[in-house]
Amino acid sequence: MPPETVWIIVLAASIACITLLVAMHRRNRAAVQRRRSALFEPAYDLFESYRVSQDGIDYPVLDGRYRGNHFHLDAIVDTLTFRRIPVLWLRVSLLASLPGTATLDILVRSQNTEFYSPGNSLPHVLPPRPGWPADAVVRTDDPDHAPNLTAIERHMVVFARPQTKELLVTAKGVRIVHMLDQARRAEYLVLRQAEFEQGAVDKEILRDLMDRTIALHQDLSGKASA
Amino acid sequence: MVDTTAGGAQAPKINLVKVLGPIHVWALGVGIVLVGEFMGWNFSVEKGGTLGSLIACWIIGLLYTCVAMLDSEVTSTVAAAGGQYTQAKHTTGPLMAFNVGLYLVLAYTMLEAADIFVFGDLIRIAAEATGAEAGTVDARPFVLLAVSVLAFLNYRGVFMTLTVNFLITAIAFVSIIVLFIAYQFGIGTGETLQHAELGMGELPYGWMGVLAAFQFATWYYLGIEGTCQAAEEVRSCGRSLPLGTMTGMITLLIAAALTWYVCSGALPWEYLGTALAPLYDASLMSGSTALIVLLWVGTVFSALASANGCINDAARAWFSMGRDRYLPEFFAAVHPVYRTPFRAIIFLIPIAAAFGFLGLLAPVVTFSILSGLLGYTFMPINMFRFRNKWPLGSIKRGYVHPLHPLPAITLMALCVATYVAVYLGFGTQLLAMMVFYVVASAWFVLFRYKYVRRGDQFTMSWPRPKGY
Repeated sequence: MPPETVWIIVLAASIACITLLVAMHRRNRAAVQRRRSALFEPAYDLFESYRVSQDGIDYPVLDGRYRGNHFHLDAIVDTLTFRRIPVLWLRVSLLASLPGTATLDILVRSQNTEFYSPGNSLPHVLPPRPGWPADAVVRTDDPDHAPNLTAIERHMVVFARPQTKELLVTAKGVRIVHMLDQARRAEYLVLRQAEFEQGAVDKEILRDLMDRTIALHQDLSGKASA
Repeated sequence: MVDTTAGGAQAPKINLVKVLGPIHVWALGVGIVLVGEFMGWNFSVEKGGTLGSLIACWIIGLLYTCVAMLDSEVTSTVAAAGGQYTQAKHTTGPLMAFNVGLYLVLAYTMLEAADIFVFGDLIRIAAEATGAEAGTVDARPFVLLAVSVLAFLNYRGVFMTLTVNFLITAIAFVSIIVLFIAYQFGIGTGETLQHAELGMGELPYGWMGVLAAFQFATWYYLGIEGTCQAAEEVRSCGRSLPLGTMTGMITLLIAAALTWYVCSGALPWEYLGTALAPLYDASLMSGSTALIVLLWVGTVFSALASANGCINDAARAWFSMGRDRYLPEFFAAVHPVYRTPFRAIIFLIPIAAAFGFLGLLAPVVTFSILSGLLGYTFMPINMFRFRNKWPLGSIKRGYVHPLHPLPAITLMALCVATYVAVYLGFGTQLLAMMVFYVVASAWFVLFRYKYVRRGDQFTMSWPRPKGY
């Protein structure tokens, strides 16, 4: 076979391969975007009104009203903890101000790599109350104005669910961080890719998490429970 | 209302168990370590001959079996991420954790340097094989290109971009099998394996040569401990951890045996001991273009897949040390959009590239092996402290390794033997490495320790250790 023919074959094969890879990539990207955009879909009917926005193939963000309260829901892919399977965290944030309240962060199973939590930057550590998870790390930026831990006490039941990672109270509202899924182990160990199987939130769990943030907010703001 | 909502939803049954199929187990065991079959291991042949290399391969296999046993017990109990790094924080203290973190970073960074170096050289070999004049092709731009692309992928978040990576690992493994079948059954090649004619059965440097071969025999398995260390989230640790790790070990032993068998029968040991990519060279001896292309592709793919994982792991270890304030907090930054430890990634890339440019594969491989070896040496010490501070029964262990302290003592003895082997071949480098770690430790104690939040180091909810 003359060298020119070999080169033409190699060139044609390369172009075909690249075209195929680009097509696969685009199709894959579209599929991922579609799958991720459905993250909150099962829970849409919980909200009185909602708006979902998605940037590229990122997980979507939902802003909505539930029982008259403004909620901000987003998902975070955590691939930063060394030698650990990546985790998909769901952040359920109730945006309702608590004037004069200092930030209080309760984090369990802390690895010191929780970049999505403000806990690491809070200077004061408070001792957890008896009966709280033994590995709970309680931090605040101002112990004098931090929410009373006694008031938090009955809401600590949220940590009975092993997926709960964090309970955060700030002057802007209340947040619970919940583990939605873990990446598929094989893909991560071999390819260092974070692939999640669970495509959507569980409606009942989300409802429960939002109810819990509302209840905590009501207790802290002194409003009577409805 | 509050009470109603508090009990409103049943706590769901947590579903963390990953059901792995045989393909996954194979992928875990093989994918991480496979590059070791394509390059690096053959330097042991230079030290001890082909038979010496095989003996070293078996003995170092014992070392890794001990590593897997010890690691399975601690990891299945320390249900926390971070592997040995986190274990060191719990059983020993910040200075040991700092050192272990450095071992891991250097082991990965140096392996990455070796990977990209081999990649560059394979490009040069391919160019020369297809007509380029020898000596006119500079591999360095290709090294830089490869490392830049991989760094960008990691910076951008390794997601969707390397969908082909699984495929390339599989191709690399299949290429070894195909080469073995081709030689064994004479398919597609007129050549046969000539073990006896090529000096098989002799120990050219006697048993001292076998000892000297230990350091490069680690290359067959280096990284297998990652399989069990990343598995802390598996619910049935006691079962999945040893099973997954041991299956991986068996697979690697088979791959190592095939690689050794083919290479030692196709290449004279004097050449094999200094070859860059021995499996590729073995394919050259077959004279079959298809085999040559397949093995070239397999070697390139295995090197790139390995480098990709190394960039990821080294950066995360560096990031964790920054978060724990063992290093300046500057490195603990997370990219606001891509959520990657971008400063750690960018900081480590030039270091790996610089070593890749050095063009000294054996010393770079030694750097990686030595850093890994220091980590293995810590394991027996870790195990003794772990068993003393939290004796059996005081905390729940997912897996208790049998015959303690025999595996720990065996591991320590084999580590010492391997240090002797490193000293025989790379004495200056061994001493330089030790000096480096001593200086780094001094820096940590004098300048960094004051920033470490000591209360934050212990994250497990265990009882107070015995004697405290």
